[in-house]
Amino acid sequence: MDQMDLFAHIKHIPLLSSRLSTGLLAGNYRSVFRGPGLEFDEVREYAPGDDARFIDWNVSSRMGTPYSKTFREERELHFFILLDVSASVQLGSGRSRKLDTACLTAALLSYAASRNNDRVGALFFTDRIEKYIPPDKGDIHVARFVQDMLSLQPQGTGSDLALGVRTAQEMLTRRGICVILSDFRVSGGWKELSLLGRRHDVIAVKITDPLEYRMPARGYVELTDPETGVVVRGKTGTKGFRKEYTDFWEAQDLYWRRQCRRRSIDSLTIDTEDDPVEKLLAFFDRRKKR
Amino acid sequence: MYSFETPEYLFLLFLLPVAVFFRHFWKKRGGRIPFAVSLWNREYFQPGNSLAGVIAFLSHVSFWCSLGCIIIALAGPGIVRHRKVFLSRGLDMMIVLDLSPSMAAQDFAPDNRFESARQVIKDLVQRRENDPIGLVTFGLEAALRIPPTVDYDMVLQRLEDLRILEMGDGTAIGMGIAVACLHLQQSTAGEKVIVLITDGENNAGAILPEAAAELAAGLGIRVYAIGIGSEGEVPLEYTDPATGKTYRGQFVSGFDEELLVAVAERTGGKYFSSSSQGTLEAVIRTIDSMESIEKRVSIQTETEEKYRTWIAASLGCFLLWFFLSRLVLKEVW
Amino acid sequence: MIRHPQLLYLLFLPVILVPLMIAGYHQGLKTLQTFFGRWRADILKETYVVKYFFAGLGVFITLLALILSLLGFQGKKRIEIAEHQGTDIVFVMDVSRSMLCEDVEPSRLGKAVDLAAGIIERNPGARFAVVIFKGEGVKTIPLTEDIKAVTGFLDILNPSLLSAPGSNIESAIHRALESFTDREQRRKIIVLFSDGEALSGDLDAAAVKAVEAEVLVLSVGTGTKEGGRIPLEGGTYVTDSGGKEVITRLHQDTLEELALKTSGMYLPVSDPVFFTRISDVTEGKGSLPEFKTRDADAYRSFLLVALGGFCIFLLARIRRWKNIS
Repeated sequence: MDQMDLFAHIKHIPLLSSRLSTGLLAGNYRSVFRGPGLEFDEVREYAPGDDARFIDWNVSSRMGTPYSKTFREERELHFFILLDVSASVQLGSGRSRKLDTACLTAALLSYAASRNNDRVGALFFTDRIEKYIPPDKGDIHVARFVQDMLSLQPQGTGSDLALGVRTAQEMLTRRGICVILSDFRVSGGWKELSLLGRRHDVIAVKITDPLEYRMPARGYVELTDPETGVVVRGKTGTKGFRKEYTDFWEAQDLYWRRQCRRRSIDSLTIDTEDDPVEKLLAFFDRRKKR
Repeated sequence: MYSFETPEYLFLLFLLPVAVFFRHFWKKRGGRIPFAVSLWNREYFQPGNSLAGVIAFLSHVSFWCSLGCIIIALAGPGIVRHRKVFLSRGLDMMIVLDLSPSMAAQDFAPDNRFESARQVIKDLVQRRENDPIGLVTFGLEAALRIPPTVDYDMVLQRLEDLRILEMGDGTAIGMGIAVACLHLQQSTAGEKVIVLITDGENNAGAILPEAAAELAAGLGIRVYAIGIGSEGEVPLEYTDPATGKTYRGQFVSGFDEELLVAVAERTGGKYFSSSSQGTLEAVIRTIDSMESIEKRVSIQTETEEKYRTWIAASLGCFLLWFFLSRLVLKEVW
Repeated sequence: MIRHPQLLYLLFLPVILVPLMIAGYHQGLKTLQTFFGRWRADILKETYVVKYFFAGLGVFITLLALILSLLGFQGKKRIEIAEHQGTDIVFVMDVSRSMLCEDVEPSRLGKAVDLAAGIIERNPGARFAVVIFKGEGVKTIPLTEDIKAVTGFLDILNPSLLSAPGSNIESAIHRALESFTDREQRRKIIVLFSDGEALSGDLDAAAVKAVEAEVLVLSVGTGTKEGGRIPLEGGTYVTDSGGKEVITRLHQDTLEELALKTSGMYLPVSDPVFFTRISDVTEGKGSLPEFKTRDADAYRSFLLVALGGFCIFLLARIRRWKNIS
C-alpha cells in the first residue's frame, strides 16, 4: 500500500470512525475509557441529601448558610496519540508498512474521539521528538493532524519510548487517554509508562509484521537493523536459525505483555495483515465487558 | 628462488584489504537487507554459531583468495634457476683398476684394498664437475667398463657393479694401460690422464707395461700410478664370482715399485705408494688437485614461469566460492 | 594458437553458469521480496534486475577470462639465440625380434647399425650414447667421445641383449633424455631406429618431455612397407599360434608423429640423401633454426579482464542501490 492508497483508505475513515464512535464508543464512552472522573462545576446552596463531604466551608461561612460543591463528569477528554515513527516501523514485509497500519489506527481513533467532542493531540517520536500536535477539537483539526502524520519525514531513526512518554506526560496537563502506537522494538521506558499510567488511561498498541515471529525459509542473508545497524548473518533456510529467531521474539513479546499487565496498561496487537477496524472493535468490546 | 617478472602488480595486493573492508565492514555497504532484528539500544537477535556461518566464511575466504591469486599471477611469478654452463672442455680421465685377487687383502680399513680403492674413486668422481671419466679394469685381461663420460651416475653405477676376480686371476697392468689409451685416442680433450691403481706385479697380458707407457706417452697421456698395499704378510678373503667359492688365506704382499715409477716417469705422470686407506685418500686428492685445469663457466639464468599455477588456483577458488555462495548457501547477490 | 587445447572443455563452465545465474536471480528476487514487502515489490524488482545483471556480468567475465588465460593463447614469441658448443647424439635402437627381419639389407638391425656408424663417421667431435630398448629402455653407452666404445657395442647388438619382450618407446625416450647433460650447451639429438611395430608407452608424454628438454628426435623407419618374415636360427621363421609365418611391416605413422612433435624429422632407410639430411640437423644447418623461440602466453590481458570482472561484481555488491539493497 503506498501513500495514495492510504489516503484513499483514510477518506473512508470518518465513516468507519462514526461506526466506531456511535456504534460502540458513543454510548459507552465513559465505560470503555476509564474516565478520570469529575471536574468542579459550581457551588450551590446545600440541599438535603447532598454529601456532607462536599460542603464548601469557605463559602458557607461567608454566606451564613451551608453551600455545597457540585461536580460534573469531565466531558472534554484529551485524547492523545503517541506514535513511533522510527525506522523499524517504516518496514513491513506484507501489503503495507507497519507505519501505514499505525497511521490508519491513529486516524480511526482520532476521528472517533473527535466525534465524542474530545480534544485530539499527538506526539511523533523516534530517538527524538519529531513533531508535537497540541490537543484541539474538531474534525478539521483531526484532518490536518492526519495530513501531518502522512507527510512526516522523520529525522531520527531510533525509538526512544522513554523520551516520548516523558514528553507526553509533560504536555498532557489534563487527564486523558493516551494511546501508544509502536512496534515496541524500543529501549526501556517502563518506568515512564508506570508514571503515565498513574494519571492517564494508557493503551499500548503493538503493530506487528508477519515476519516478526516467523523467519521465512530462504537462502543465506545478511540482515541489518535500520535503527541500530546490528547485522545478523545466517541461512534462513535452516531449522535451527528459524527456531532461534521465533524463540527470541516470542520471549520478547511475552515479556512485553507481562510488563503491560503489571502496570495495568491495556495491550493490543495489530498485525499489518489485520483489519484495524475489526481489531479495535473486538478490543473495545473486550474492554467494555470488564 | 621465487621471483616476479613485473612486481609492480603486487601493489594491487594493498588494495585487497581496502576492498575487504568496503565489502564486509563498511557501515554504508550495500547487499544487506534492512530488517528489524533488535530492540533499540537493547537486546538484539543473534543466532548461534552454525555450519552455515563456517561455510559463509569459507566462501568469503575463497573469493578473496581467488582475487589475490589473480594479482599474484599478474605479477608474473616464476622460479629462477641458475645453471652453470661449462664453456671449456674438461680433461679426460681414465681410471685403470686392478681386480686381481690380491686386492682382497685386508690391510686396508675398514674392509680391503679393493673397497678402499672403490671408495676413493667414488670421491674422485664426485669432486669432478665436467671432466669425462672412464673406467678400465684388469686382471688376467683388461676391458673397458665405461668410456669416458660426464654421465657420472652411470660411472658410479658401473663402479658399484665391479667384483674382484671377474677379470681373471692375474695382473695385466700393461693391458690395462693399453686399453685405456685405446679409448682415450679419440678424445678431443687437451689433457688426458690415466690413474692406475694396482697392488701387484705385471704377470699377464700380451703388452708389457713399458710398451703401454710408450703408447701413452705417444698419445700425450699422463699416467699416475698408485701402488697400494702394506709390506709383509696380510690376510685375504674373496669370493670367486665364477664359482661362488670363498677363498681365505695369508699372502705376502709386494708390488713392483720400480716398474710403476718407470711408467709414471715415462709419461710425465707421477708415482705414489699408499699403504693405508688414509694415504690412498691423500694420494687421490693430490692427483685431483694436480689435475684441475682452468674452467671457463657461464651462469645461465632460467626462469620457470609459474603463473599458470596461480591462475589455476584462482579459478579453483573462484569455482569454490561460486559453488558455496550460489549453490550451498543460496546467497542473495 | 592455443597451447592447451585439452582445457577447452573448461569453457562449458561459463555455459553452465548462465542457467545457474538465472535461477539465482529468481531466488534472490523472491528472498528480497519476502523481506522488503509487497508494498515496494515493483521498485525492488526494477533495482534488483540492474544490480543482479552487473553482479552476474562480473562473475561471468571473471570466469571466462580466467579460463581463457589458462588456455595459453600464443602471444609474442621470445627469441633466444642458442650457441652450441657441439652436438650430442643418442642412438635409440629398437632390438625387438622384428628387427631381425631381412626386408632391408642385411637386416633391419644390421642396417640400423650401419647407418648409425655412418652418422658417427660423419660427425667428428660429436658425443654419442646408445640406448637399446625392447620391453623397456636401457642405457648401455653413456654420452662419450670414445667412438670405439660406441661402435664396438653397436657391432654386438642383437635382440637377446634384453629379455623383456615388446617395444616400449616411452621408456626408451626417457632413458635417452637421461643421457643428455646440462653441463654444456650442446645440440641435443635423438636418432631413433625402429620399425615402428607394436610400439607401446605414451608417445605424447615422451614427446612433451623431449620438447621440454629441447631435444630433437630424428626417427628412422627401418624396414619396408611390404615387410618380411622374421628368421630364426636354423633357417626357420617366427610363426604365430596357428603355425603361420608372421609377416612384419614398417609402421611409420608413430615414428613420423614423434619426429614431428619434437620438430625433428622422419627418414626412411631408403632415403638416398640420408646422411646429408642427418648432417643438416646435427650441424644445425638447413631449415632448422639455430635460435630457439620461446612461446610467451598472452595471459596478462585476460587476467586484467578477470580483475575487471571482480571489480564490476564488487561495485555492484558494495553499492547501495536506491537505498534498498
